Amino acid sequence: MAFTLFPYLFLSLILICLGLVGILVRRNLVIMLICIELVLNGVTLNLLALNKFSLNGGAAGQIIAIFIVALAAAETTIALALIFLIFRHHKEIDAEKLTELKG
Amino acid sequence: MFSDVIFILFWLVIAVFAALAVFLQKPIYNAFSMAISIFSIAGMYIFLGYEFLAALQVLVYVGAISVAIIFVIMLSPPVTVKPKKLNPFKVMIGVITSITFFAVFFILFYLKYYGSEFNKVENANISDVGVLLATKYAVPFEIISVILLVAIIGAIVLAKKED
Repeated sequence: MAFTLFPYLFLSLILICLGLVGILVRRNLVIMLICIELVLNGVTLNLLALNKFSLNGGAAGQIIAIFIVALAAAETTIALALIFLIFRHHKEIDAEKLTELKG
Repeated sequence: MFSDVIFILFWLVIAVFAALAVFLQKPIYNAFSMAISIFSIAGMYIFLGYEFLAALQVLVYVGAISVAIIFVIMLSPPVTVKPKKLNPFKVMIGVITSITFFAVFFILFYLKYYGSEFNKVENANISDVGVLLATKYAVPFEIISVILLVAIIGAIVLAKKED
């Protein structure tokens, strides 16, 4: 079972869909960020499983996975700083109530 | 046989804790559930044969990103807001979108890849990855380092208390 492709793809699909439903349904900015992390992990798992399947675990897929991890770190840093800033200004992080950009 | 049991265990831990990370009510519980789920994904990388990426996953995701999220949650002053009712229409739209996405890709993966096995070939080892990072992918590598620097400076500038 650990040497077949399908369980990995199924698991990555579960992670992506759970993250998607979390981004669409939950309204807390921190939880939405956590859901984005889940989606990124699902994407990386999918990429690495297919890299193992069709390229026999070649180096290019591993390099792209390293880039995804580094970009996720940068994205989380900026997003957390923004969430902290929004919290300090508005005293809440509910995405429904942050409507000032709507005009 | 034994490795199958371990594999199923990791699989279930990842799926269950990802669901908990999405649907629990307090952000600190969500953050810890996400940490456990992501830690177990490193086990999946071990099963696939990517040892370096598993180490990187634990170092960066569990050691840095989860800790940063938990820090932000713990540093914020407590707010006592009642969990308000979700708009059922929006919940329905989100769930339907996600289920449609899931169904389409599940059918695709099932028809195309069900039962296909990996080749019994060793992965490219980490020295190949290092050589490629320093030669062919040197420019993206440098750009990534600049992006990380910009993210650090940007986070400090954004979160600085203005007076």
